[in-house]
Amino acid sequence: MREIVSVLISSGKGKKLTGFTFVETLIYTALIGLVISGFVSFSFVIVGLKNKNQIVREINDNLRETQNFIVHEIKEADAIISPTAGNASSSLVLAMPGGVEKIFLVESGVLKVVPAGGVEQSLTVNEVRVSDLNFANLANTGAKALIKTSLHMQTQGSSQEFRYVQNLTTVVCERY
Amino acid sequence: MFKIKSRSSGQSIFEIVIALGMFAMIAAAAAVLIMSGIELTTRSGQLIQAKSYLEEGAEAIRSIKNRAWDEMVYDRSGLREEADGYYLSGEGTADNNGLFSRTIDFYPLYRNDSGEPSIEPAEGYWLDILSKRIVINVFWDIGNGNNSNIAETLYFTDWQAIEWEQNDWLDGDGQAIWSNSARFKSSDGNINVDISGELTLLEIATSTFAPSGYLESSAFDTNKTANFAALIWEEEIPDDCTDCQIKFQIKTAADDDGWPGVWQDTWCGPAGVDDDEDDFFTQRSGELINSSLNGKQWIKYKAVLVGDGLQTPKLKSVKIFYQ
Repeated sequence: MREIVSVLISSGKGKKLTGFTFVETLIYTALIGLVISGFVSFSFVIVGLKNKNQIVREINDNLRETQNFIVHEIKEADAIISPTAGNASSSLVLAMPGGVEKIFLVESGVLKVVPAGGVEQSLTVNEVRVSDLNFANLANTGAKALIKTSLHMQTQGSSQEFRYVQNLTTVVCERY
Repeated sequence: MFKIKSRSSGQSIFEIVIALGMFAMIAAAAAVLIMSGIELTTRSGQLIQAKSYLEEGAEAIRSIKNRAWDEMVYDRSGLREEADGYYLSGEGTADNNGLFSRTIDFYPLYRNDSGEPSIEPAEGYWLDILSKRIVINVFWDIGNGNNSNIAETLYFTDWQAIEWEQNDWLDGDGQAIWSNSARFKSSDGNINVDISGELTLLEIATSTFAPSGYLESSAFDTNKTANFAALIWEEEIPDDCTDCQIKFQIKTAADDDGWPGVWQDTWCGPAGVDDDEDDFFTQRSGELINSSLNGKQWIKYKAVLVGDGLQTPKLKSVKIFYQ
């Protein structure tokens, strides 16, 4: 211990400086501080970007699956029960083959399909909020239905990195 | 015991700078990777939007095809949304929706006698007026002056078109409303019905034919408010008769309690209702009927035969498609 103190305080003539000066210590501390703060900031940015990426992917996945499913079901439907020609509605009622009715609607921010007398099925996850769901039947009376679907999908988070909004509009012509 | 040599007592500024530089490079590489991931995800989102826009175009065109085939008269057109559906905006128009722009191009389709399609007019292939090749493109800016695009090619045929055909006129004139498929309403007296029921110009002297003549058909009831698609006919034109020609005009009328209502004042060609009788259907392989004649229940045609006095064209059959 004595030797260490000796080394630290020693500054005799003809001897080389073996410890850090105060200025060096300050510089090194500042450099280390810079590196550490840079690393921490970088880590936060990386984590933020990763979260944002995850959120965007989540929305994209939900949009794609929702679009594919709705389009497929409308194409498969025997008839569009609601909305009727020239009208719009926040829910879509399809007459499926076999006489089964399917209803698409939003409940508590989740897009659901409810087969008549069956178990409802969620098309979007709870982390994603669906709003402004609208089905417009653009066809004339007597013509094949033309369903324009539009919806608004966003994440539930409040902070910027967890916030993402996307709109979807798709159009399907009745096949049967 | 604790002698410390200054050479090994710590890192020089140079070493620290190198270490920081390496760290910065690794951090930058990691940042680029993450940013690329973000960009890919963003583009994936744009792709979903673009596909949705593309599908909207395809389904809108399908709905137009289902409604009225003869609305598809353009080479390129955008879409216009109305309360009762989509309509084509007009020649040369395109669509824009925020980041995305969309073009819809219409091309003819040709078929041979076996029904095989071709996108080029080749030997043995004729223009199929009731089929079209449609190419939809969606473009969007992905930054740095670069564009991305997706495309879809559709082949549409108006399968649901119903045809009214007349290929026999043997039972003569005097029938105003269509019931006997071998009769017609009237002619100018210069039309002859040959033994097989086909139409020629009247032979007014030995090997001399009337220079021209016309026949007006009976009025045909489509039994619904119809949109008329196309008019096609079969003919025989002598090879060495350059003046010989067959051409058509039509009229449509709304229903008036089971009878034709008011017909247009003038006979109409491909230009539709235009208050003159100057234009004729002249393409025997088919021409689209102008959409201004749509929304009516009754239709009739006027066949005009033109010869050179020495020879005559022959009309074998005529078909009008509606939906």
